[in-house]
Amino acid sequence: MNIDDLLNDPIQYVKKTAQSCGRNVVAFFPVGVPIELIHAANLQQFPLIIMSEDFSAADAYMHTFACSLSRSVLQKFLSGDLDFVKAFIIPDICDSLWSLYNIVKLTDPNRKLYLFHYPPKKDDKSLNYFKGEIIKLWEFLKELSLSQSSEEILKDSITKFNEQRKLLRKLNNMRKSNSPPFSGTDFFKLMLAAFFMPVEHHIDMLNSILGNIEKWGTKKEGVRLLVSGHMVENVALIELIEESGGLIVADDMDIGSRHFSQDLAVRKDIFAGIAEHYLMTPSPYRHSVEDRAEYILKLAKEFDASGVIFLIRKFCDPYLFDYPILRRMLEEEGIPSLLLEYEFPFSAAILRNRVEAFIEMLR
Amino acid sequence: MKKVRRSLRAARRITNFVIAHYLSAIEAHRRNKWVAWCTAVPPPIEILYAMDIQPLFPENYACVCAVRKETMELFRKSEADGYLQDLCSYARCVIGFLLGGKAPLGGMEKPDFLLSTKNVCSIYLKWWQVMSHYLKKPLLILDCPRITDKIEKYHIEYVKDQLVSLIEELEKITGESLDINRLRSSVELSRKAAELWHKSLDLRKNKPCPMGVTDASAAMFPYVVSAGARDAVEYYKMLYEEVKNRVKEGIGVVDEEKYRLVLSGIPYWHNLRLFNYLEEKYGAVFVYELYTATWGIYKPDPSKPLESLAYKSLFNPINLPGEWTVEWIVKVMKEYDADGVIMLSSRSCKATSLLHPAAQKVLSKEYDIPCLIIEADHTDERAYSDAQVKVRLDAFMEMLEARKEK
Ligand code: SF4
Ligand code: SF4
Repeated sequence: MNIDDLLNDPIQYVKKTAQSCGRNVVAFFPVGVPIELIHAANLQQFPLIIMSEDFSAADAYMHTFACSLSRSVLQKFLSGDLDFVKAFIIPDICDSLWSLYNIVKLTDPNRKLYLFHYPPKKDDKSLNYFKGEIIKLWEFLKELSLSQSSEEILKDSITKFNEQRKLLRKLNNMRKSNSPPFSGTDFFKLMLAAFFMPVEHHIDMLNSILGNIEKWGTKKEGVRLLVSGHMVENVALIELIEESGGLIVADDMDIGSRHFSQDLAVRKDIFAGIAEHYLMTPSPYRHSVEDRAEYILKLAKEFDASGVIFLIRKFCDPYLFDYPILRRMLEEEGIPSLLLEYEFPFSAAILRNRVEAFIEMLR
Repeated sequence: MKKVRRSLRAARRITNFVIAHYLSAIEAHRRNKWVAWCTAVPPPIEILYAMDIQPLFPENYACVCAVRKETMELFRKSEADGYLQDLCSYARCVIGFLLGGKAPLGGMEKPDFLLSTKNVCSIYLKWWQVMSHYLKKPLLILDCPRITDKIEKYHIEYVKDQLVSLIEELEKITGESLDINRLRSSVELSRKAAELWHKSLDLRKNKPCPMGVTDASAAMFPYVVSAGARDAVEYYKMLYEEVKNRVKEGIGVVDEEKYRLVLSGIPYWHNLRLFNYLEEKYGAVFVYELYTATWGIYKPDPSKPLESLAYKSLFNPINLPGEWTVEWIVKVMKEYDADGVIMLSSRSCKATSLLHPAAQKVLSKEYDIPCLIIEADHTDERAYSDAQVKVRLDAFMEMLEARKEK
């Protein structure tokens, strides 16, 4: 299966892969949930990057002012499309997801759900508590697994993901060039694949791309941009920006640089290492806006971005709260930004107009 | 048209209580004491009172702005700066003030530090971070994990541990150490106030119901802002006596009480007259609000102050599983002999609203409890249409009437 097929029908892709590998499927919101644990428990990961255009079932159970990502998941859940999923990991990052957790539980009390807690601080007590959370999640996952697992296997998994991270960084660093060998659209597709594909396959793919980089992807010209947000669940959004004269050279996203910017250090206390890694990556669910600004500014400088686009889903509180201050802090450093609030299905014409106007201003 | 009683004397005294509360912060600064801006759902303000730190509550302040209909300029200010209308209207209101908007009562006295819990909504943390940024004052955070089953020992230990650190921080800020006996007395005052407040609420089981929703929503204020201080206890003594007297004399909110209702969600502060509409037109009285009952729902124990303050911070309905809320509603429907539930959803408050449709389904299917959901905004009157809301209320009341006749 190639990446486009995968992205066209992610549910089908996950089902097939799980079947061929003989694994149970665990679905999770890919926002700081340690994917290494899922891998080490020999489970098939299913990142809940799904979009629904029909909300008829979900609307009866959830208000329309919840974000459409949580509504999409609820829709698919209620219509039975996710019946093959053994368990759901829902990180407690926003009120839409906490409510989704509760609603799913009310409609189907027997469903296996795991609410994953993030402390909003970085001190030792928080780290220690978070480590406990990770161990609990590990135990939960091991029970779902069809095979035995161990800390040794977990170490191997971490090593694999670090290998993936290293390769992604290598590729990502090529975007620093004046004329990167591939577009932002290409990179985002690869990033989405990183969360869906078994990591071994993804590493093979990255190696073959790196071995033949001139043949991979499409070179594009455009105004250099950084995108910031949660994740891009539909590459069409990135394509739209690049078709409007932008070239995305860097990102501050969960399905993006937050995943690969740092290796996960294997410590003697393996769970402490995992906790530290996931607690330290700047993201709005737990960090201050100052921390986030620092991360974005550093990236913008390193990748020579002329502007920043905040890609934020309608009703996404954590990101919308940070936006006004981030905008101002970037402005103070001479970096203009644009808030692109979107909703699926989005109106391409309106978004394109706004992006074009922004890019015009940057030229 | 049903005849509606005048409000409780105690409720009318709230205006003075509110003014005194905001003045107390100015007074604290004059005496070289400290002021903290706190989230309104149980941060352990008993500790602050035991250390002479005056807490102020931005959420309550926003609610005061809404009741006085002085929010528009504040909304405009925050929206102009990029805070979209979908964001919590309480937050937009206070951020508008911080961005220079003109606010009632001369605005809120600025704090020396901020204290946020994380036990109701994810907005708390974000909103408090934003305020800490604008005010350039430190933000202290008390992390309270969501409870998916029951409150476990490790949850309590975690929060208690943080309370110890919090006290250390406060000692650094104030340069004074906490006297554990003072903390015990302040927890005792908090317990007493909670007990009296809930005893007053319990009296609404009587028929006719002696206290209405408007009075209850006003009378909860002292517990929110003064848990751990003496004035709250004095206030609830007075309230309890007055409500008890009403029961003794058989005085109800309306002369002919016909329907008894339970409320879920935050009152639409900009239009409290909506409640009068139900009382006057239908003789429908709210006998229980999940909202007002949230404060003081757990009575802390002065013999183990830190542990019980930790528990209090965790034990908040929105922090508990959805099933818990459903069972809670079922229980009070019975105990208060109520006819139906009205759920006031707010478009900008996901935490108190998103569960409504699913809860409504379960309540009506499994328990045959009629529920109506209204959708507007708790502070932002632009998201409210009086005519539409009344049409829906009318239809619901007709349905209740038909059920009664059956
Ligand atoms: S898009 Fe925003 S609101 Fe929706 S799940 Fe993600 S963080 Fe929560
Ligand atoms: S989102 Fe709701 S619960 Fe949270 S601060 Fe706003 S009004 Fe309160």
